[in-house]
Amino acid sequence: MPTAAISLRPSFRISSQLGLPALLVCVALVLPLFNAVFPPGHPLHLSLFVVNLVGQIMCFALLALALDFVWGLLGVLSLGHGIFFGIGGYVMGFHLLNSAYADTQVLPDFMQFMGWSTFPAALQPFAELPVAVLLGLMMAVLVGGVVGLAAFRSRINGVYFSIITQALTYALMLLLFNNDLGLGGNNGLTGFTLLAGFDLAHESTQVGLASLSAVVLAAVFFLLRWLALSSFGQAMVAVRDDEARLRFLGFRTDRIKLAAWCLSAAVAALAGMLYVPQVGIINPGIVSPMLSVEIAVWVAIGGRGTLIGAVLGAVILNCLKFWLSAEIPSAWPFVLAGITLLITVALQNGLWGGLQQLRALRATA
Amino acid sequence: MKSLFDRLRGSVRWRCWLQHVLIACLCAPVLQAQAAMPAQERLSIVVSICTDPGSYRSAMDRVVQVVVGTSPEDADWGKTFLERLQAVALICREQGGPVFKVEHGHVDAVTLEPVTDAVDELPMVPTLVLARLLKNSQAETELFSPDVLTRRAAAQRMSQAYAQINEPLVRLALSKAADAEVMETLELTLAKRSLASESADLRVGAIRAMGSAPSEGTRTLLKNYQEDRPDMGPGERAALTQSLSQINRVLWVGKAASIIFSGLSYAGVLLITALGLSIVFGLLGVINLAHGEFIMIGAYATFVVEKWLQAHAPGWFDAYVFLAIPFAFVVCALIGMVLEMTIIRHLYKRPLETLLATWAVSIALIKLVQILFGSQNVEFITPSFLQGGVQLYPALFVTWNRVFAIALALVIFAAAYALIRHTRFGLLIRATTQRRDTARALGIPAPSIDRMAFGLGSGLAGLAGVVLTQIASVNPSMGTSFVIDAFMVVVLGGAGSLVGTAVSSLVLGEVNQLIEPFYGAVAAKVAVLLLIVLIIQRRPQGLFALKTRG
Amino acid sequence: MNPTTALYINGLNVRFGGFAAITDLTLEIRYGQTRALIGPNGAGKTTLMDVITGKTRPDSGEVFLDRTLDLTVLNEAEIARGGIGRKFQKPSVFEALPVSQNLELAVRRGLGWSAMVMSRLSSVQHERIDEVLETIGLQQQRARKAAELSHGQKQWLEIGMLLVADPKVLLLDEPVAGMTESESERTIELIASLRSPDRAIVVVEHDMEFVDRVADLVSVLHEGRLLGEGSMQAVRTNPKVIQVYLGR
Repeated sequence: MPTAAISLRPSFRISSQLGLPALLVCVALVLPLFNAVFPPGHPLHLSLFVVNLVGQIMCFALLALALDFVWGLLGVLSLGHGIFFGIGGYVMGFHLLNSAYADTQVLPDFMQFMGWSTFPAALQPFAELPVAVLLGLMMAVLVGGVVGLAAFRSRINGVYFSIITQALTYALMLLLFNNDLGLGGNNGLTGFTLLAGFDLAHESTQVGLASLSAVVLAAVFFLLRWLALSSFGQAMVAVRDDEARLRFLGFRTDRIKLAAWCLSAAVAALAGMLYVPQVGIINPGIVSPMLSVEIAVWVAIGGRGTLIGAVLGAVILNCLKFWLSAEIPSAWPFVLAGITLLITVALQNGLWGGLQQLRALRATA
Repeated sequence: MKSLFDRLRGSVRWRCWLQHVLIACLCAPVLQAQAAMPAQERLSIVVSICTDPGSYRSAMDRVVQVVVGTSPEDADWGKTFLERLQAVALICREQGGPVFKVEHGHVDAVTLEPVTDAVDELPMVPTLVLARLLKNSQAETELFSPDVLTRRAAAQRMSQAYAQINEPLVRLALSKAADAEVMETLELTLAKRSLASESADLRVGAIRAMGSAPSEGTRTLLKNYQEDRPDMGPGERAALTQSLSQINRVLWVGKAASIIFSGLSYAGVLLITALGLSIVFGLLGVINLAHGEFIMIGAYATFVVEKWLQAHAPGWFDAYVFLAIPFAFVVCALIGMVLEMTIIRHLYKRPLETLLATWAVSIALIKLVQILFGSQNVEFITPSFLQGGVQLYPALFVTWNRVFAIALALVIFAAAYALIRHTRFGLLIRATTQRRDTARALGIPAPSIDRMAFGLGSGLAGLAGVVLTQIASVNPSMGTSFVIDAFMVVVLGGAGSLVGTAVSSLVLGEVNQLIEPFYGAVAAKVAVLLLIVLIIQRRPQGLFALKTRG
Repeated sequence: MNPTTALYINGLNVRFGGFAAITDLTLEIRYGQTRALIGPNGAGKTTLMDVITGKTRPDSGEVFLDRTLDLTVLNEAEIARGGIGRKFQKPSVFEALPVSQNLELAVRRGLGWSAMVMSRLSSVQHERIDEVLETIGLQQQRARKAAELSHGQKQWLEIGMLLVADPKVLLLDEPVAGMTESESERTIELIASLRSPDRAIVVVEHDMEFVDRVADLVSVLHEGRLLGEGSMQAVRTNPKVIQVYLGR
């Protein structure tokens, strides 16, 4: 009787069944609305705090999707996706500074400290929301493009590439920490009031933002899933498994990698843009090398290469992190380390991948 | 005496030293002569102050000479005199001799013996002139204080009052300065004094002298002088231009050397760190993100040794760095081997998983150290034999702790090189790195070699931490930024190659130091990355990789 | 060069540092031929294939496809699209994908920007895949993951991936290495069936029986130089070849 081979490689297994993803999408869309639909005191009512948390986790899930696309499917481990998240976040921050200034006519604190008396011209292009979003996406794609071009053309792969992305993240973080650049320095950008005319302090705005994050997450998930199941996705997997072979079949693999990489950068930037209005601040800590590695850990734990696994990993780990940071703050690094070690040593395909393998085993037995 | 000084002036620094020593020898007998008749001298000084305003200046000079050049008793007397005078506690009595008012009564102003008779006169209040002279004299005596900070402050005050200084005294202080800052300030003071002279020849002489004794201070001085005196004569102007260009040249060289020197100490630590990483990556293909934390553990191990010695064997305190070396090495090697046995071994041939697993270990280690030692910077006391430094060249002040760091790094590298190249253990490591299967077929126990090599690499990182305690700040997250640099070194130099690691740490250390002061840390990092990308394009395995064909 | 010349190699020199991998090599392979490249290890056979497929750049010399396509300036993807298919020593298929998808990828011969997402294959392409599946004998396995195939089956799949692109030149690097008797037999039949007037086949092999049955001409390489050329019979009796290669 043939025994199912437990493949040591991550399995490219994006199920063509829509069952679980559809279910999760419904849950995600509905959850934030619990705050509005059920009155406070009702057992199903979710406080604003929880809704806000849900929204943030949606953004992280989006970020994890971006990384899984390029790591699980393409085989390129980026430990620098925080760069794109940060670009999106800061651009949204610039926009929010504009709208706060238009609203209150008061310059943000850090500008006053620098002795400025008028709103800087460099930030004015971000005044209109659609323009700001577009600019943010373009900047992320541009930065991603430059990095990708340099790296993929030079055939820099594997761990060398990962280390280089860490170094770039570190450099960007240093840049943003610099207090003389007018980008907020180590305090970051804050003092936001309005977004597209909606008051950010208002409960309904936050609920709306959380719902929007869920919608975007769902939309991007289905987009990336469609791409993964298309011939482009096939090619990506082929690049991951044997890039040389694909090249010798006539494919311009560096272009495939570049396209997927830039798309991933844009998605990560989008996640940043959704994140900032919900937390009310953006600071250089978001571009720390450590956070960028954490994203990879979410994906690894959830199950890389499956897209849904990335979302699961991000959700589970961030829930755990928020809960533990409130209860026993000094325990979180140990818990995270323990889970990561467990997954890398014992459960290489992550939680979702492990589940899939179990199902496959049971099917053949 | 002035002409003697003029003739002796105007040489390079080492001749300045000689000159100051000569002058000190000349002054000393003059000053020593005072010791012969202390009591009368003291009385005469006090009486001058009490009675003759015209003699204030010379009296003050004499007091200072007493303080500076005579026996400790007389020096104490002189200081007491100055201090009491300033505290408005000198009572000049019509009869019975002058006394000082002290806390519980009065003492005789000459003998400092307590005085029992009643005193009803009021103390003498110094005039403005005397007050000013007092301040100068105090500064002058403080020039000879054993505490270096006091000397520095006094030198600064001298510098501001350069027009009134007592030149021979200042030269004597210069010869006894024993501190770069004090020396520089005093020399500047003398130079300023000469520049303010009436005689053009003296000024030209001073300008020339400053040209041969370049420093930031003399450059600023001459530049200001140039601006303040647009009407100077052609001879003076020529001397000025020449001196300025001389100074600029010398300072430029000194500055460059200083940058290169500080790059060296950084490169040294980078070298040891990257060496450990290179061995581990070259042999096991393991990217150990926790390598930085081994550096940190090494630094904290040094802290533990320092504190233990401080508490239990203070006589040995200065040797704490040397004792920390084996201690840190063993601690880190052991932790490394445990890590290899429990985790790394299971992740053989899976570099990306290894990366994540070692990252997990690193965050746990950082948190653990934070809990045990707190997250703020840990202060180290520099051992006495490493304090201070020597001014090798203008603008190049070489501190002993950096020299020590460089020397230690070289010694460790040499030891590691000898280990890898000339011992059996090293041979086993090299064999297993280059051809693992063949090595195993020959009976070499690859797993044990792996474990010991990992221990070696981690131990080396610990040693890097020991070296770092003397030149950088120590806190739980010190490893992260350092390890990124170390990885760049390995990527550039080629994993597993000792020479490659050495060369590339030198290159990257210097590039970092050259760019950072001018363009900031970000530009330095980006420049290093660009360099690496460019070189990897041509040689994907790094500059000196161990790899063979294909 | 003859009008039926497929591959033209003239005066090729390749050095790796101090090591001369190929020295002054001249070779001409015509359409309709099956050429065997034999020689001891290190003779330069794989290096020659690397040069032809663009993986390695020569220090000097000419390499042309069809007299017009200069292979020394094109990159690997362009050369592959130009009609050269290379099968590697180690079977290189996409393990995570099913057999049919391996072939679907190969038949595209690259992705244009629009074709990337609009992924329908034409019916011609589908037919071609079916044809090739039959040729290599893997119709039953078309839905299986390539990872689950046997060693021999993977080799055939790889040949199949090259075939769907209808190559002008097939470079086969040790196609029967590690195969069982029956698998080798099937492979010999397969390669023999690939002969076509529009196709040139170059085979690198150590198995002399295989070479004898499959090849028209044999070129012997030794230490980077061409030692001898001719039919198997002629080469077998060439004293230089005997001395160097056969060791007697």
